[in-house]
Amino acid sequence: MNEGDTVQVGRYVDGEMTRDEVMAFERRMEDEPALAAAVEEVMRGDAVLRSALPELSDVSQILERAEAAVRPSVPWRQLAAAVVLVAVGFGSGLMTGRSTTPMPMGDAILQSASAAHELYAVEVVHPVEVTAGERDHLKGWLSNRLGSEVRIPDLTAKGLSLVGGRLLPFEQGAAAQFMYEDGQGTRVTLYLTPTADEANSSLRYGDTETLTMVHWQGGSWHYALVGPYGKDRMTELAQSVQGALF
Amino acid sequence: MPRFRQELKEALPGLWRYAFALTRDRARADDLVQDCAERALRKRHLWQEDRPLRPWLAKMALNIHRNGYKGAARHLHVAYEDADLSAHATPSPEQGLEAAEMLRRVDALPIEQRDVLLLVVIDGLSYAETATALDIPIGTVMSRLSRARAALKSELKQEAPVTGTRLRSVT
Repeated sequence: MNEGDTVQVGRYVDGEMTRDEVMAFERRMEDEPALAAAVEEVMRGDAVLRSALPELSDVSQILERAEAAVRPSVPWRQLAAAVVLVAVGFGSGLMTGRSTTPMPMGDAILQSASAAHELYAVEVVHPVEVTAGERDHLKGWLSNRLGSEVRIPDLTAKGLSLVGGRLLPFEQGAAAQFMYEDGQGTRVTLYLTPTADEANSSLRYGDTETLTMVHWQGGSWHYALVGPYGKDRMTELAQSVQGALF
Repeated sequence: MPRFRQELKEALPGLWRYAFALTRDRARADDLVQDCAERALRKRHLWQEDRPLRPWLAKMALNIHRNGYKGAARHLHVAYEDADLSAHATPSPEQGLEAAEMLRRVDALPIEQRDVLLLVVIDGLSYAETATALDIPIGTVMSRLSRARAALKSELKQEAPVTGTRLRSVT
């Protein structure tokens, strides 16, 4: 057998052939006993090698340990790094501390936003302070309390209706949370808080076991969108929010 | 990102066998796999959905192992309790002998052939994934693999008649 055939035997055994190639190869094997024997030999050798190594059928404990080791620090550290990048990009003078000084903004916003989401999204009786029925009042009240005009994005085109909103404390100031839900009652919250440092950032992501979070800065607002959807859907929603705000 | 977790979980059994092939020790295989899983989770934001996870994990495992794994048996205490020994708890004496002999031959292979052989046969990576993991062309994957298999086979043939005498030397 030439070297080309040896490679083809391997491709056959390893499932690398297309359907047509397999059929042609099997026809050849019928005519060429040496080829069929070579296939059998490789399969046997592989089987011996596989049998020489143990299997671990339950990997979930290893995965759980890895997740536990990663959980407390991952999203926040990444987001802090992301916000440092934003600061660099816009020369906002926050560079002095570099990586030794944690950048609290994106970090703190996502922590507050996800905590607020987890607290209120499950609430049946009082998910919001002011319901969507009083949209104008909600807008006026929150604008007043946050000291800057708040706009409430309309996400009905994305299948999300406004449930309402509430005022929340954030660091030394305040933040607003708007809650939306889809037809199945799945809730997404938009968290926003004003900032003195105007800038625009791209979308940055974080996640927990069950939630995907998107953070960005648009002008004098920091936004965080939190929900149980995957990254693609959350990106789409974040872009809709951005579109509705500008 | 549930899909990331799902892919990671599906990749782990193959990765664990590969890690065992590298370390030959259950506890160290556990540690190596956990280490890879942690790194993958930390860097999940770099993952693109169209990019398979398995070559990335395999590459990590190999690099960590080659760079002198110092995981110092973090989980020795759980390794034996958790390990599923059922599949290999009672190999027949012949199987055990053949298996040990096979591992000895694999160890004797040139390292670049062994890398390809273990990724394809043990971790179950495709040729393309193996090429990605080892950063070599796919043609090189194929040629190294067939050379590795040919070497194992010729050793089998050469050594087959002396199996009986070797029994005594195997403890």
